[in-house]
Amino acid sequence: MRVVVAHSSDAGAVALVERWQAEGHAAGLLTVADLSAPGWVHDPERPALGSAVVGGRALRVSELSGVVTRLMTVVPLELPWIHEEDREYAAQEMHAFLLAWLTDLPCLVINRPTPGCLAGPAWGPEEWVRRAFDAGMLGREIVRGSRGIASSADAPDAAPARATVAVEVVRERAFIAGKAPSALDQPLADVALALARGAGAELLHVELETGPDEAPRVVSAGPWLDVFPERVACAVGDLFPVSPRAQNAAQPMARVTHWENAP
Amino acid sequence: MILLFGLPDDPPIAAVRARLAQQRGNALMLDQRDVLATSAEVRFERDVSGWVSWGGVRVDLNEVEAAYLRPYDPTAVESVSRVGRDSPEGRHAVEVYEAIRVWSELSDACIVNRLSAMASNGSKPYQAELIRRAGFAVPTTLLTTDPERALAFVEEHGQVIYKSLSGVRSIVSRLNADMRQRLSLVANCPTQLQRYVPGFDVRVHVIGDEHVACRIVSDADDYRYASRQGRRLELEPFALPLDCAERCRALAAELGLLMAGVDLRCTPEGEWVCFEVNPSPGFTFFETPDGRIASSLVRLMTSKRRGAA
Repeated sequence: MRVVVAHSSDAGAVALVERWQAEGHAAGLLTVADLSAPGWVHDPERPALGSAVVGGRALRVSELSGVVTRLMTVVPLELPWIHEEDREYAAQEMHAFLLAWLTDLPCLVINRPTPGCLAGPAWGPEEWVRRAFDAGMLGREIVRGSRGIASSADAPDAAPARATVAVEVVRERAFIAGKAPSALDQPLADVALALARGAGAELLHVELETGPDEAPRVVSAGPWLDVFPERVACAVGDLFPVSPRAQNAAQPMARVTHWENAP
Repeated sequence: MILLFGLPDDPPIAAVRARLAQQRGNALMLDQRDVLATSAEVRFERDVSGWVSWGGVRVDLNEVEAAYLRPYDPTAVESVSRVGRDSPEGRHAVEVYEAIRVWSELSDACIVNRLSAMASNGSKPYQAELIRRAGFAVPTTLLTTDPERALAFVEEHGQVIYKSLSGVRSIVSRLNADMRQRLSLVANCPTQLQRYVPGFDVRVHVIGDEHVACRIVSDADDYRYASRQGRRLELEPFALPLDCAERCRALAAELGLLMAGVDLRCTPEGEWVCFEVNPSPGFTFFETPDGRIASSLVRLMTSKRRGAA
């Protein structure tokens, strides 16, 4: 089964799940509501023998072919069924659980979580810019202070018109405006791919600044990919191992209530 | 220059400050309570540079060679909480905090500790896996929302500890008959149960390449709250076996921590079990009469300084 961990309102996550289901794959959306349901069992020493709850259904971890994480953190506002005074605590507990579970999972997990972000590197724009420089690329200067964050492009005397371009990285593939990069755009793709590689992020949304006669500058990056373009969604699906039973997987799943007795 | 960031009456900050004063060290206290009179600007490009100013003092952050960070929620400071986090004062407090935080992440000064390195402690089971990989035993653990599995774990192991997964409400307690009756509640949120490990507790403070260990004698499940529970608590110096000390140092380094409080228990069989690593230890609770922990920390910050982290 393919699983997307996301907010229930994440339209991109819902679109991925619906797309995969239409292709005949078993796929489900795991939201924080699933963490308030009986059925989770995680033994850190034997993660493959555990069970999870996806879309309200309990299933064995061994049934998971892979997980895409689009949830950065669990926020109290998403837990209206928890007593208000306990929401902050429950949110922290759920975040802590997901961090351990996603880290321990024996199947494909993209992106693997970090302690600060369940969907990959927990870096702000400044850290991405530094990473770019460390890797021999350029980044846009950022000024942070008691008047908030600003970049050199916000300055009144900022140099001329540079365009901002978004690049979606899916492992070793890059997409600009939903398409494979043209020869002209290849330098942008190369920068985004190098940044993602250096960060160990298989899925990365990269924002670059580009201007005439100069190399692209990294503005920021983050794990929240635009998965609506057809080719990007296809590329994400291609990351999963091929399932020989995909054509059967669209059948409704039985609710597994006594999973420990299953073969 | 050494920068201290937090509250001056926070005991670890106060201890380090006093020790630095004894040594006539060049240290500055950036008091979070003065946040509304504090300004900061940090510039990030190939290098990081900037300044912070308060009370007529302006510090070039490039002059800061080491920093000891124990910041609190910037919006919890009285002058800010009074007007709320969404007020201009609240936004200012967060902006100053963020400027210092991001500077500390990217500066090559000796930072004790970077806040990103502290994050592993926000998930006890995540950190436990890192501890296990460092060669320590960790307690047998179950994370579950399944009441039946929780009950089966309790019946299998007899004495079981309940412990939060995150760093919130982190009071460890042994599961009693009353809590056992309420195991159905685990369905609401993942819950962590651990097999009780018998033995005696040792707290090891790792400070760079040095360590200070003490044995804790207490009859409380969580000795940190022994006095609150009317339980016995005594601390005594402890000579940690060298191989165990080396594992503690390696573990702290692996977690990216220049200073760490490692919670160990030695079982009757002589096995060292590690419960967790505190990335911002309240070390004054465990301090030796001659202040060895604070001394080691000051030595670390005055000797390693820039580029050592």
